[in-house]
Amino acid sequence: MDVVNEIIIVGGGTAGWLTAANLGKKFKNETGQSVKITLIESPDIPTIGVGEGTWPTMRKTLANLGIDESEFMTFTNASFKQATKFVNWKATPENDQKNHYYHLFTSITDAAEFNLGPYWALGDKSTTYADAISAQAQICEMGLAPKTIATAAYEGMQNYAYHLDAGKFAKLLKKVAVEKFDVEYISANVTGVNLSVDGYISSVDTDTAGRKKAGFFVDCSGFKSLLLGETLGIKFKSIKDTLLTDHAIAIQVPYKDMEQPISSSTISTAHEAGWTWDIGLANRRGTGYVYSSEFVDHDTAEQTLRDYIGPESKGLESRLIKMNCGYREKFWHKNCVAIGLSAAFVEPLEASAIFLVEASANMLCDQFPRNREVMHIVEKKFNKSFEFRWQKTIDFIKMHYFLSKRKEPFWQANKNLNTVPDSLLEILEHWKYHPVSKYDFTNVFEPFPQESYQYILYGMEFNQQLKFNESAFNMNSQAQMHFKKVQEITDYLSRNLPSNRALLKKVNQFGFQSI
Amino acid sequence: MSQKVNDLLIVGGGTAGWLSAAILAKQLQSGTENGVNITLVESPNIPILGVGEGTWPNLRATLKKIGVDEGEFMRECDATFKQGASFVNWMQPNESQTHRYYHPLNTVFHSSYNFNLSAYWLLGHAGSNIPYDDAVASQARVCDLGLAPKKITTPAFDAIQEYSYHLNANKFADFLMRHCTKNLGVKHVKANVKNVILDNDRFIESVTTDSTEHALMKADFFIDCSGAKSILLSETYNIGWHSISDVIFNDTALAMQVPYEDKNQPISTHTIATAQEAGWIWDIGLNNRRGVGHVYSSRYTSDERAEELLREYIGAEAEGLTARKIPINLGYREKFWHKNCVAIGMSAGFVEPLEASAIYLYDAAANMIADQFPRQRSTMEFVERKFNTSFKMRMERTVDFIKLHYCISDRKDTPYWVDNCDNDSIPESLQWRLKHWQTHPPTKYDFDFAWEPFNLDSYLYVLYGMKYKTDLSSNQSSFNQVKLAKKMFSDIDELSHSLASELPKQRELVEKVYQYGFSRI
Amino acid sequence: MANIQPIDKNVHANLKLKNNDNFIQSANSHVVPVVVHEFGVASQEFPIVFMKDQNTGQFRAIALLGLKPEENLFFDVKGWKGDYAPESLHCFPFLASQTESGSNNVILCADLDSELLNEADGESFFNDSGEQNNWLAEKANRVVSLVEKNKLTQEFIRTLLDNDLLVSQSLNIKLEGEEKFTINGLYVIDESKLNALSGDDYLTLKNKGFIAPIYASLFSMQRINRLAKLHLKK
Repeated sequence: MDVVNEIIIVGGGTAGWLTAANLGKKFKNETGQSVKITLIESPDIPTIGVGEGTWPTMRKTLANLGIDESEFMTFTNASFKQATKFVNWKATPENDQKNHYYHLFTSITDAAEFNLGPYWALGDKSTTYADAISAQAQICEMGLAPKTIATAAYEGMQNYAYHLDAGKFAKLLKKVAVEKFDVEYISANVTGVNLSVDGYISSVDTDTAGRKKAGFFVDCSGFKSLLLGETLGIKFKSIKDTLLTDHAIAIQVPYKDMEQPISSSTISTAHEAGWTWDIGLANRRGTGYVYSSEFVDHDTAEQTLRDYIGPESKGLESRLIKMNCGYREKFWHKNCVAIGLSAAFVEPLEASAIFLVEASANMLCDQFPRNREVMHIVEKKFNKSFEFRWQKTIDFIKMHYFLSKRKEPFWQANKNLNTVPDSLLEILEHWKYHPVSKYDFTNVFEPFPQESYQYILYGMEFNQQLKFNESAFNMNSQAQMHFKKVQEITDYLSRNLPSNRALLKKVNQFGFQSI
Repeated sequence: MSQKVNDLLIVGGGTAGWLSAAILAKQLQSGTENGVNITLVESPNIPILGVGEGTWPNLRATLKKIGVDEGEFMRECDATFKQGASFVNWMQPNESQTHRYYHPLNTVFHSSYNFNLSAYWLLGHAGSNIPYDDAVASQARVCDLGLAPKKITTPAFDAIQEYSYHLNANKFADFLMRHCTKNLGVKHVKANVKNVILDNDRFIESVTTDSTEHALMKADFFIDCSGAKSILLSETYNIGWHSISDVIFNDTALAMQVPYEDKNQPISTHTIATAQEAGWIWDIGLNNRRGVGHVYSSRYTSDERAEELLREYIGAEAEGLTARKIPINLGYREKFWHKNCVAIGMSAGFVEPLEASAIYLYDAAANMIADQFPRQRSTMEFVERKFNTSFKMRMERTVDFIKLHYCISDRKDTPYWVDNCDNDSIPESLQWRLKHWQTHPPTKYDFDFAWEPFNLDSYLYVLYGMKYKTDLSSNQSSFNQVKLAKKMFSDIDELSHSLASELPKQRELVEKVYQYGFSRI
Repeated sequence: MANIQPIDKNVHANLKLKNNDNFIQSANSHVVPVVVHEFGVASQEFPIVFMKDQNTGQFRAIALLGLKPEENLFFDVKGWKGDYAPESLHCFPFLASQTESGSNNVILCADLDSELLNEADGESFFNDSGEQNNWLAEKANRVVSLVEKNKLTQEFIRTLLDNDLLVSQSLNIKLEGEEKFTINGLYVIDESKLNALSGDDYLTLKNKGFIAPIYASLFSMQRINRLAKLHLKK
């Protein structure tokens, strides 16, 4: 039996080091490493270093690696993320009247058990959907944190994730992987990839460390996709026809002073030809404009971003990034799997990238095929699962554009039916007359849960007609009870939660207890 | 807005018909002003199948939702508590030792989704020679001791150990009928359906019956619960049948009802399924009698031999009792929903009763239809497609799971058992998974279908109850949380002990429930 | 073990009942059953709550006498020291039993194993002519009356359940110098649900005479503080 005893990860960054740490932990034994994990990272090629939003799953990921929450937050300049606030997505603002809606992490009910969606939709809509089913939007508007200093590490009074400095995050994960889980780190450039007769990768050649052999390889080499794409020839499927954006301009903005409030959510503001992200870390803001170069030139785009930032943008450096949006035809081929940008990239509208890295690393670790004989079975499973996940992610992001009532050419182009996946069109047609239901989600590994769809649908004022079937939504007293509870919780939390800034200071000073 | 759907007609009663009526009537507010009005028409002469006696835990949630009192339901349907099934001699029995394993209803302790305890059992960390079910589930011990899954003080429908019911199918249908007509606004018509009339778009418009009062019954939506006959889906629409007889060989059931020797004879806490030469015998304990039957393949044995084995199993009490022969056609429709008609029950399909999946699937189907009910014609097609895809998958998965019991057996004593392991009879989806499981235990990544009828835990119970060989020798080191695993094993042991002293005996609790019922809180 | 027998002047001619003004049977009980008729007076001293009978799962109304099992804070070396003694204490060791199942005729029974019953000390059951002594006749009436009161109390509890007014309540007790502990298995009336009742439903409660005992139980929750004080004083 051909047994895998070494794994080589090509490339660092979040993808490489998160995978390394997880694999390292899995194979660490009292007697040492049962499977040797090596990560080869180029000292010259910079990482993309922009990904800064995460999902609540990150808390579990960090806890599993035994990383202290306070240490992590301090090291990566992290702040608490509780939502994405979509500004001006519904429609172009008139007379400077902005519009916004929230996509939150916490709701008062589990929609699969009791869906408040139709009850809100059939009501007078005097409050927004987010405000009707959750306290979190109000909490975000007030710039409050999701917990107090007395709340245990990784627990929250509201569900939360992090904004973080991706570069520093990679450094932290590297430290953990190398020092705690015995991952070997080689700083070198990969100059060649060698295949064996059966098309499996047998080794890689480097400029300063010679040839390295392994039974399994993980491609974390970013857009380059050195192993999966360049060597194994797995083709890249562009999704430019669906999601029209292809560039991003990024500017880091310092705070005016250390008292400037930190936002509780990622702010995504729609503009003429795309949208800007605005993420508040502990020590600075990260902003950027994601746009389509077909509808705006780079200079105008940069100006839009600078206008958004305001006068403080003067003198700040910008960085232009070409986004290669799409995904590989398969992510796993023979004894090589790609994780991170080497596998796929979709615009960062819902911060899905780091989440999908976590998910990939988790499935790889759980299913890791020690014998070559069964690799093709795991390959099939992995590809099927992740193709599904990427497609759903694309559908979900496209939905944000498709439902908008903005009139500019970029936005009109997004409504062109040729750019919309059939799967999305069909389900939206169904949702015109039916609430979003748990029966619409047939895969356990759906990236976005039922409630997320409702936040977007109702936030974008999707026209859902349920009146003719009103009698099917007949648990009114139960629904009212939930709505009332939201009020109570909102009152309570608004009086008892600290501001983000205040909590971060305390985290720095005291840290969170483990219980 | 296209043609509205305001009236629903269910053709056929029995468990499928009345359970669907109850679930739909509750959700769709039958009999109220803006609700969907539900009528059920059933033949006064054609008897229902009346044998399905095992259920799954989702029935509790359904009964609670439709407003049934648990004590009343149990009393009127001769029901007892079911905590799973035990499988006897599905592996080669030694001369003296029977082989037996449990498939309990509890999830594996500490949930296999987050921590794969089975790997640690495979590596011997639970102790030598401890069977899988004992190692990971307190419920196996509870069943061994003949204990009930809760106490008289436990609120209705709540569980201390996960449970469902064994019940009298005839009485259950009657009970639901009374509840539907009295409390849920369902109209009941007793008549034989004669003809089915389609409109210009080939949607069902109405049915004619032999009753003068209800000669013509119009509706906007139809549910076919007419049993294997399938008056609507098959006879009217000619929807094809996908047979599974090349996978699951059984085609006949021989059923008997066996009284208890005396009033105090213990009632089994679970279904007992004992493998035979060319089939298996079910043994279900109701309050007042047992239901015992032999499911077998006429291709591999004769009716006479099958009856002989059944009577042998029952023993002396079988004398004077008659057996009822029921031919069973295993398979399912090529589609279940066509235009404005959907089949639930035997009309939709049947996989043999080895894991009591039938009533479970009726409940699941009715719940999905109730949730997704298309109130206007124009939205029907999309729901039709969704439903068909979902239920095709559920049927396929059920077939896979049932086949699993046969194809990993080491029995070679008859051609029936040898042929059951033939790759040609094993669905590819199952073959593929079994190959992977030769070197890796099943995990949540093997079950990504959200509506999987049998989840990860169920597969683990059967696989390792049957001692499936998962060879971890080359991958032992990745199961490195031995301390945590050992703690879990000892927690389970402790829990089993405390439950043993806390829980009452099955018969004792059944008697109390019949007398006092369960409180709602 | 209880030995419940009907009182028969032939068999029990010489039976006597010891004085039990101290209600010694309550020495180690942390609960005592109460009937709805005495909620008013009992609630002045004890919390009136509801518990399930472990054998039948049926609810009973009880006065809580202590914070831990077998603790009776209203009992000291001299015996019962509560100002009020619930009916069931007075009736002990007597019970009423139906002559036939379902019939309305009841006969007086007693637990013959009780140490209160003997042939040496106390009040004789029967006089020299073999007739019931007055006190026994009075006791019999009291016991039969308690049967009726229990029936009404059961109806009261049923009404509470039908109107969804009972909720499960754990009491978390943290007393000075002691570890935290929790009392489970108690059910109390939920005042907010009471206030949310429709006019018709509330009127029905009033017409049945149930409003007073409901409030008596609600207000009696304050008595838990008193139990805590008594517990600490022990």
